[in-house]
Amino acid sequence: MIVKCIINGKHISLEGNECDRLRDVLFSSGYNTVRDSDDGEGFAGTDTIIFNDKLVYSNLIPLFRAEGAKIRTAEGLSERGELNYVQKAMVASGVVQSAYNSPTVALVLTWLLEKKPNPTKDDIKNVLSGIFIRDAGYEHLYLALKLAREERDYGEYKSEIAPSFRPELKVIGKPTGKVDGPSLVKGEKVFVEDKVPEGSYVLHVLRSPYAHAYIKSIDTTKAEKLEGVEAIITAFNCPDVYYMQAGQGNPEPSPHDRRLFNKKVRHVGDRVAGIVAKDMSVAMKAASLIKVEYEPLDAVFTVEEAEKKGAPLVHNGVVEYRSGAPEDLDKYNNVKRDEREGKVVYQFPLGGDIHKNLAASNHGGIGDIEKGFAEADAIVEDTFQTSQVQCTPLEPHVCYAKVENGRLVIHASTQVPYHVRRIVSWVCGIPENMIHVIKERVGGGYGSKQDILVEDLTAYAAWITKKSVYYRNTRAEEFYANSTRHPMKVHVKMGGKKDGTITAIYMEVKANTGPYGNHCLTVPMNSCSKTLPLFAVDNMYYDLEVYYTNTPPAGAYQGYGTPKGTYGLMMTMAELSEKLGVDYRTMVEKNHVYPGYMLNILKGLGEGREGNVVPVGSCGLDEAIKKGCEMINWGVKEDSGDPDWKIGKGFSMIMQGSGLPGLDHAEAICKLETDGSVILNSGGADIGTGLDTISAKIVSEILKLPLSRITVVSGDTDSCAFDTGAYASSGTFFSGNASRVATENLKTLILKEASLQLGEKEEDLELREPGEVYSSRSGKSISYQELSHTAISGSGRGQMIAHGSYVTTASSVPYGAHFAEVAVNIKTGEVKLRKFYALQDAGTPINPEIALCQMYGAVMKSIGHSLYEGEILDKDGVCINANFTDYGTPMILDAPDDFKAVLIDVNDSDGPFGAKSISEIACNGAAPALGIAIHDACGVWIKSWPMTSEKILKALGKF
Amino acid sequence: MEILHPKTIEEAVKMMKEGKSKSLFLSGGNDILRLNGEGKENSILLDVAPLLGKKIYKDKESGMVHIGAMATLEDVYESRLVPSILREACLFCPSFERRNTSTIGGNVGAMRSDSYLLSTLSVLDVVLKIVTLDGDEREESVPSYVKNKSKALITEFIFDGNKKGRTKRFSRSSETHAAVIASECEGRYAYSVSSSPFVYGERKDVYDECEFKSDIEGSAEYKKYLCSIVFEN
Repeated sequence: MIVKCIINGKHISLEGNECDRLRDVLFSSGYNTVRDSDDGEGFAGTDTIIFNDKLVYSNLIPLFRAEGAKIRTAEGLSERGELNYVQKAMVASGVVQSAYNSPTVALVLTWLLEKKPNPTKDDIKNVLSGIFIRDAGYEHLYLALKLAREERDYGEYKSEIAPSFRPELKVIGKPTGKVDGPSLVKGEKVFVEDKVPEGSYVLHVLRSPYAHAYIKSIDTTKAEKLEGVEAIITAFNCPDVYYMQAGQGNPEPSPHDRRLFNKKVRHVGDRVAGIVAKDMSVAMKAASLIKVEYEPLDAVFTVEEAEKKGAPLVHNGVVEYRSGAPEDLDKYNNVKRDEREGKVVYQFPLGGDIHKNLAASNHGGIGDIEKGFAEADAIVEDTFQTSQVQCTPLEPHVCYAKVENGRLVIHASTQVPYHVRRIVSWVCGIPENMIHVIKERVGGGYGSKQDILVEDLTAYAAWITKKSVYYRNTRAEEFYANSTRHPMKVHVKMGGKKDGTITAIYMEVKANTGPYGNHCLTVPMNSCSKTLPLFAVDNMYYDLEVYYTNTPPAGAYQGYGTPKGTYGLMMTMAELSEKLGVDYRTMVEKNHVYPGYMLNILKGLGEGREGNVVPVGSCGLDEAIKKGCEMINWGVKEDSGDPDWKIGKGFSMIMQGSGLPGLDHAEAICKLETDGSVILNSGGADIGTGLDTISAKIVSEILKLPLSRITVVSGDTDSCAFDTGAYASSGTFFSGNASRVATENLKTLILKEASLQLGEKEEDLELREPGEVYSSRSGKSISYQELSHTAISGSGRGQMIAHGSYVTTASSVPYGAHFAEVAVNIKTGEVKLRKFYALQDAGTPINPEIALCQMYGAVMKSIGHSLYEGEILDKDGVCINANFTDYGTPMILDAPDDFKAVLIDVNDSDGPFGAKSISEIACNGAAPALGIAIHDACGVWIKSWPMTSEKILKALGKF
Repeated sequence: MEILHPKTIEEAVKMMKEGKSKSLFLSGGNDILRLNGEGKENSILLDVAPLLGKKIYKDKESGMVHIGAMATLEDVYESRLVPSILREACLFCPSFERRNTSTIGGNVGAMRSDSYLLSTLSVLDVVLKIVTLDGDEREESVPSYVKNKSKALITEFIFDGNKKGRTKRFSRSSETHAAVIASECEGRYAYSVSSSPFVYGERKDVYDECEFKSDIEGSAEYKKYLCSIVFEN
């Protein structure tokens, strides 16, 4: 049918079927800001439009209802490319990050200001109640509204957007807005889905209904005969290449334990067949025609089940080692097995024993743990269980691949373009020069796009068919066929003296890696390596074991293993302080590390290798604790005035890292263009976090050039140089430092060239705004434009291009403390978040407004994990809450009433311009802070995620 | 899905009768069109939106409040004629966008076990004006409509706007489905409990009739406990 309506003031005809979702028709008609995050669930709000003056989800409007309607989309907000005042304010306030739904939010807030020029906080909450934001949280949206009103009423911003740091610098440490903010908030076609031309083929994956089964046979005959089916890939015709999907440095600390398709499925949702077809309906039809004969096997879903003697083995194939093979490997492999088990190839030993479902293990410590416990006046021992939580990026995992000029071109939404290229190279059996990975804007990663979950198969499908192939996970697939946080059982034993001194800590971590070993060693290692070094304790020991099971896969998630280790350790410390009769704050302050403290514990906590022992460097921990305690009135018991509602407070100290010293590597290329402007090619992957802006600011400071004359191109494997990628909090520190080195090298070239052109000595020259070289001796100057123009002339010495690479063994650790105040209803078990204060030392926050939003976003994720979220599997391993609503991600109505992020000013000696990492660490504090606060309120310790009302009531003995 | 556009209410109920189990009345569309909603690939949707009113008014003679079945939850929430307990219940649908399309008629018609409104409308003693599948216009109470699993088309809601009562929703987060929604007004009690049939009566402990079941919203014991304490004071 053809529907006539008015869209953004223009008469438009939309074509489609009566029942088509209006969103789909709008998107295919070019209104690409009307995106879909939830497959029509009516949850995320990415599909919001104004429909006859009401805000609605366009996914829930059938096309026929648009007849005669007046529709507004975010495309209508900016005129001739100029942002409207709300869009500008959103960029200024830092909320435009991964930005998959930023245009929609701008539309919603613009509508609100049209209806209510001076909205209250409740008005804002109300209109945003149906919009899910995972990256930047919700707090700065109130600021964005305030800024918009100020521009409207006064023509300028009056409010402080974020604190400024380093007065001697011009753009670093100042809220300038993200360089890609305007294009993102306008809704330009910058995501993978926007690059897919009409007529592209689709890839659909037939998935396993069994948690554990051998595939006896797959009959694709009927499906292959279907018109429009191009190829069907299965375990019987895919390359016999073992790899893993974790995007980690090569050689990876994860076993190569899978192929594109395996002859044994290991979780419900595991790949069985990949169908390349001309459209989705054909692909689905083909999937229904594929006959698969399974041989079901008993499955294991928990660590307890997996570690039992005689438990079904998730992997029982041949074990190989690329290096460090044990001497008795032949004997180890001399067991009866089915050939369909395949192989497990360790790059180096990870302490695994697949015959016990053990994917990896590690043990170590310092001092004398027994002596430490013997010296203790009290000992507390407890176990904490974390759940399987999902990153839930608004843009699901997506990939578009094609063959162009004989090369494989991959448009990816990834945190690790170079690892994608390497894995695809292995899978396709072609050299890396034949592969071009283009990292598009990433609509949310949070760790899950560190894993190469869809690029491997999409690229292979394109390579063998020579067709353009598009793949996109459904939201349900995001839950059961994706990576999640490793569920963990964290057992802690802690001893202390009456004065609050901790004498010994023992930590046992048992993690569930699911069917494959992505990050199987490193995530659990983080539970210890990013928590134990918070303690200035002489006797500490850890044991960690990671088990294969048949749950949905685990992998990377912002914070990695740290939130779980922090939960166990801080909760136990709070229990111990209570047992000893020492105030928790006193205990924290007595036992935390300080600058110069030698972190011997790190020796055993490398990523499968010996760790780097360093002293504590720049550290804002003490200030964060002191300031936070002041803000929350620590030690003062609050009274709600209602006997049912009890108020409690809690806090947690936190740390993370800034990349992986000795492992990570970043590079950048800085070019002076012919008109004196600069293009920086960064290997780093900006995933919405503002990394490109950091690089641009670094160039701006060093070369004294305005940001408007600097462009950063990043994450393109053809034009940029290698970078390990955006994970482990490495972006600012590693990629930023690579940009710094490249720019400093360009500065050297500029000075050298200017010396020749001006006939001056290099030591008399300096760079000056707005982009010129100045001689302090003669007073002469030459602009970059003139300099560059001459350099590339017929008699010139060539374009000034500098390369910079960065590696280090320095460890710049961000520290912080997160504080919570909750009210618990002792009759209903309900928890209200009254206050949450996140205080963090990020070194120099290069983009302070963006840093604050990342803290808000990470805390909201962590609040979600602590109180609401968790995948639920039935007895057969089927995820029964594979959608946003049932899964339980928090919305604006779940945010704390009083929410503050505070940046502690610390200048780091190794970070670029003193910067450290910011966002991962912010995931670490909420669980223990909330757990301790709940206990303070009502006296019960909730020892598993999510800390629900039901668990509180049960602990209170109510039923 | 197939969409049919009946021209009159009579035609709509006739189509419903003929379509048997495959037919659904389409009003706002939220419960039908949402992912995992009632609408299936072979559903026949009967577009009744143009046939039903959405006006909210107080009848001068009777003093009763009338709400057209197509009034959205946001319309109801914003109306000053509606008792606060019902306005509060509308906010149990936490999403502004969904409240803008979800209709009061559709919400009752869907009869979900975690329905935002069923318990509140029941304790408010709301009278439903309905058209049966045989074309008869009738009035029916909400509990009776639910108990009979009626497929009749709701056209209007009528009630005394001066009633006062209490309602409470328990859920894991603002957006997760409710474990329990309980309402009370003038000695009438109603409980919507996830995975259980809706119960209504004049005893506080009428919830005992619920067949409590454990599900992703909580254990049977938890839900039963909540029902037992929600109106303690």
